Amino acid sequence: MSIDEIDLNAYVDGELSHDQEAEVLEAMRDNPELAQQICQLGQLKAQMRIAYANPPQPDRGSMRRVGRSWRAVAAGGAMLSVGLLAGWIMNGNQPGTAEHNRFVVLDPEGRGQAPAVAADDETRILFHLTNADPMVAGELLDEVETMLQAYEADGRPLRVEVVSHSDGLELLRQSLTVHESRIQELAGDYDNLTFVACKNTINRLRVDHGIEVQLVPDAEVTDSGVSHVVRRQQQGWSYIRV
Amino acid sequence: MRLRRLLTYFAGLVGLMASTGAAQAAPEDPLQRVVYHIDAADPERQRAALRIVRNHLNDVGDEHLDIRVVIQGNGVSMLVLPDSDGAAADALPGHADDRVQVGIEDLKIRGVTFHVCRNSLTRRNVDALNRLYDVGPDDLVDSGLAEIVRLQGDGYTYIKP
Repeated sequence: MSIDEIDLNAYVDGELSHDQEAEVLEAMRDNPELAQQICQLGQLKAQMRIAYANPPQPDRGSMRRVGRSWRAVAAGGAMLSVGLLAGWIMNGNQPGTAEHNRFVVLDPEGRGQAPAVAADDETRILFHLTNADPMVAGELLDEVETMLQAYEADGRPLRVEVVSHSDGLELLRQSLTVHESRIQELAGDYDNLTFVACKNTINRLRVDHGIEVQLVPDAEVTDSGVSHVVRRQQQGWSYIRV
Repeated sequence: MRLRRLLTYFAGLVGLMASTGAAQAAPEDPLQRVVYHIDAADPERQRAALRIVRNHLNDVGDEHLDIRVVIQGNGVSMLVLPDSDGAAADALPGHADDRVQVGIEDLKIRGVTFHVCRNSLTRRNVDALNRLYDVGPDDLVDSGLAEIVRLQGDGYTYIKP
């Protein structure tokens, strides 16, 4: 059984192929501990990423729980120090860099470095796009633009993220999207608008279909669309699935 | 003796903390506020959404719920009367058949409020007041998505069935 080779994070995000998913399900039936780990992973992905800590990696048949948790604590502490140091250095060296908040800054592991903590009166909206229909995406872009215009006209602060996930990734795929120029225009006009692509979806397309996804230039990438969506909701963002 | 007094004091303290905690945990307003988002084109999914709202009312009780249903995007076909007069040949197919009408009517009687997106109707050239089932001017909002954002800001929980 090659369960170790399957990314359980991808399983939790629903990004595996049917075959791989069936394999995981079968393994879970035979191995309650694994099932428990996957269940925990699902919950922890939601909770622990908020704190920017390492989600525990599934490690089947492990007898070294104590050792692992010590490592996690140590790693967490180290990350915290690095984060504090980096924050201190950046604050010192880059005064007045408000525009750095334009993007959800994502490190290679998909953890946000610029949490969306903003002025209390800022409206923050996350659109979770999972629909491949270009008309649906086009209508979404219309609505987003109308909102951006209205908030700007009223002088009310607004931040919008469009997270493209699963079939919704088509909006940000250079070869498939019919909205590339529109996206470029909107992203150019509005600093408070971000397009985010799900890396798990990109990886799945590579593994299952041999497709190397090329994103439109304005797209950011997050490790897991689902985790990103959960994190944003816990940070108080409005959430709309399209 | 002193120990007993100490224990009594301790028990009282725990009891006080527990009652304070309980008072904080008990919500002053037991009303559940929920916004349902319907944007699916598929009539099966549209009917399923109405069913889910009905089940929600059955489970929690009408008097405990403040439910808003925002109909937007392709979901507006749920309200379009089938074969309505004056509809162009290429008009949006209407899914507001008898089953849907009864479902909507039932929910309205039980206190559910519907908000219909004007932008979505305009994009599809739907005459809101003549081709839709039981939609008046008060039922329309300029933007369904903006309405959902507003409701979430007011504490409504978002559900997309």
